[in-house]
Amino acid sequence: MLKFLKRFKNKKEMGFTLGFICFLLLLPRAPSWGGSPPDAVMVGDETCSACHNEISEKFKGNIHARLSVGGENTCEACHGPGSKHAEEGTPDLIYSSLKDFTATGKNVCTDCHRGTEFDSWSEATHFETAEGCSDCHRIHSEEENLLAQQKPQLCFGCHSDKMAQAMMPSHHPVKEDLISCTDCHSVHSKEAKYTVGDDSRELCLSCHTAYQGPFIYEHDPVNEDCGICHDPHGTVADKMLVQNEPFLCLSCHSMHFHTTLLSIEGDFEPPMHPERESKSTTDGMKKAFLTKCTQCHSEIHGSDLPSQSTSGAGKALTR
Amino acid sequence: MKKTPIGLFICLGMIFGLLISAPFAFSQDEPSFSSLSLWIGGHYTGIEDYHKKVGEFDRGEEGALPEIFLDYSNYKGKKTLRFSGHFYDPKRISVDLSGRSKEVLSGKISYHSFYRQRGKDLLNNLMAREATDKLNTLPGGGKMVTSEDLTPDADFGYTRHQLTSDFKIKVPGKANLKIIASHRSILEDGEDQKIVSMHCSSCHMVSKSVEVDRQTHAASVGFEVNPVEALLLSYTGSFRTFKSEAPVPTAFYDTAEHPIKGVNLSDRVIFGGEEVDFGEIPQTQKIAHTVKLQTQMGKSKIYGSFTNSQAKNISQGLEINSNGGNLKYVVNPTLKTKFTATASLKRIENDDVEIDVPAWRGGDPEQFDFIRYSSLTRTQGEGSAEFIYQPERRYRVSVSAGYEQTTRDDYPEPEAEGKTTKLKMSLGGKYRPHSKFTGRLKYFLEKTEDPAPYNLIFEESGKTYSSPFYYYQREELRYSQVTNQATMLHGVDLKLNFKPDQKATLSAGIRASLETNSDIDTLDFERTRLQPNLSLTLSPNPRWNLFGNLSYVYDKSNGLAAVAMMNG
Repeated sequence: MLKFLKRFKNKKEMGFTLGFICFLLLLPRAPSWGGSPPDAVMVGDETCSACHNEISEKFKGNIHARLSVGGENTCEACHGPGSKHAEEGTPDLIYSSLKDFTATGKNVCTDCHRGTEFDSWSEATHFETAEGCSDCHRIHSEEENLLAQQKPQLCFGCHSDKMAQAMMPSHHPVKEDLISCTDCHSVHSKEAKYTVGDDSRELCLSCHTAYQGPFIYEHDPVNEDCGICHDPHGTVADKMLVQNEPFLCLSCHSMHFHTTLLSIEGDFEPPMHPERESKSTTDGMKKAFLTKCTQCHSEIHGSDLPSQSTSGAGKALTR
Repeated sequence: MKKTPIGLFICLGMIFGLLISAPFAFSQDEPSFSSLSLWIGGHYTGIEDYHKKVGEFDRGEEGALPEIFLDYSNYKGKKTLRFSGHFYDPKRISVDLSGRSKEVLSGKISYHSFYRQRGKDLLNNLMAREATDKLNTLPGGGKMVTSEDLTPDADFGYTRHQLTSDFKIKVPGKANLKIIASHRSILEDGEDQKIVSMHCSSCHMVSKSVEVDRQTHAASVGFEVNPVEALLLSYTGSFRTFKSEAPVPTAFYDTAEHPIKGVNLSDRVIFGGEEVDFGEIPQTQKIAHTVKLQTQMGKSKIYGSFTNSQAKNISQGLEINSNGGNLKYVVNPTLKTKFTATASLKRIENDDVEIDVPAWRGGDPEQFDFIRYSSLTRTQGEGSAEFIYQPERRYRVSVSAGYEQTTRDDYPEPEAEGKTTKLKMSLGGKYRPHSKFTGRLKYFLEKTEDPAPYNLIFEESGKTYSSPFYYYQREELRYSQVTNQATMLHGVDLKLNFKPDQKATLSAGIRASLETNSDIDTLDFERTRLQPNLSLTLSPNPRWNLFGNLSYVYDKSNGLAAVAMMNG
């Protein structure tokens, strides 16, 4: 013990570590894992409703009840044989997904909900981070899909950082309820719907198909990952850019050489086009070339048409 | 409003409704349960003194409009039929029809539309003329910028229509064979702003209103089958096509001349003095075949998939071919532990393109022809392992590690095989003493070598100009080290959820990350993100949600920016 204490450099470090250990020890202990004992047998829905009448009444409008899952043993089809629980009234003698779920154990829902949509559910991120199905679904509910809350609030309940981003000026219309989180995210597996192939960019391209390409003139980050320039959950910058222009562009490209040019103060007429009367300011060139790069480089996601300059070999993505 | 697929939706809906409801007519013995709710109201939309871009998705038809919501459902034994529709305004409609006939047929078709208001760039910043003295008084310089809006009264925006359908058919007599078919069409029509530069004579930007008429159609069919209990096999064939029906916009590019001296500069440009297309969106399509299998052997499960896909630019005859496979192994060595290992390998090949560029300044031996090699041509490999230990119900800890490698065949130059590698690690913990409280803490790390080797893109080509240097060498000196890609990422994610009952949730959390790139000779790139948040959600019943959220985002980047240099 003394040897252990000598490892600490000072009293502050020792106090912090010991305090943390005490905090862990003082955390309230949870009851042991529950479930039907091996010798329990089925007792039928009527026995269950004798004590759980409120739930049983509400459950009549539930999709599982309407589809008569389990016949006369609808409750025990999910909760397991209830004879021991009914005899002793002990909650630990019957399975409850709300308190008995473990990421390493069995999930009763996936006994029925199988197939391609659920084929890797037990390996999906939500399976590990949420408490199985019952964090999002109220199994006894009458609501469509048995959701505990409406979307997107259901998702925002845990992903509150994404909720904040959804309120930023540039965002996908999730808070307007015009698209939902599940249009992009498959909550039951890692794959999203409506994608064609498994290109890492495919999730975005399944809606923004105009940028699929392949293009003759490419912008390399588009080949790499849309997330280099865009944050799909919402940003302060326009078009869900992770930074405003020109700063985003300048984090890979040099400033346009025209920005160093001095400009005149006053009116001017372009000699070849005198009808274009214009007014310049001393910082005119800076304003023109350091405001928004995509004013000129408008086809930033790729183009099949060459830009005008020969020395640029047509690669400038302006057309 | 232009054409909408609402007519198609009605036709599909009628066929679907007949298919689903037919069994109802022949089985009178089963009890039926129906519910109908109808809500009729109205709303007013006005955008006076309201910046249009702020209301990007809030603006539909202006003025007072009726609003209708209808929901109908019918359950009869194992047959269900449900219809729900919401009319907000002619540009925002949603209709869903779903049903199930015993366990043989289930399906859903939906139509959703909304209007997206587009912003307008006034081009006000594009007005300047070069000065030739430091007092900014002598307008001798030739460089200038002007702009022109050819459609000043245009109001940009488009309506997006989405029609989807999903069907699952369990083949009668073949209890374990299911046929799956789905379809999605996205149609966008309206007007958008296009800006094009007429580079020579005087740098002149022109804004035009162009028609939007984009169409994406995707369909997939497949099957899944359990030949034996422990084996699930599936195949999906997918097809997607995209085309723009709008006419390609055109613009007149001035003849290239020096704006002051009037010298003809046509030999510096690829085209000029002509009307040319711009902003053309190519017609594309993509086909993919995916085979999956899932099997269980004792305490372990194996998932595997293989995908082959071809993406085509039909307008230009270009093609991307891809083949990739994934393998996942999951085992529960004990009741309290779980181990997952994954591996994947993918090969993507994008066609090279030979590009002819006219010679610069007649008679000059320098040529600009080149072959466009694509950075998308690559081989990607990934492997990862995760271990979860849950000694008892309230605790869970997990540790994971992964490695990714991307080799780009022809990047930064032909046959260079530029390589990016990434090592990922994470440590996570979860504490849940009971169903009312959950706390999660995760630390993650990513170490990347050559995150995106695009700072090496200065290929050996181009023109020597008044110096022994090539352009590409000068560019490389100026900004080859400018990047916003990190080589090291450290992050922490803490989430605390308190649910006193099913009607209230209180969440608090913080997500913090530090990204750095120390491979740069002069100044390290650094990006710090910090996002604490607190939210409260109250749900008195499933149809009511009251929520409040307080979040603060701190995001700071510190990196190189190359200062501009004039020619030479």
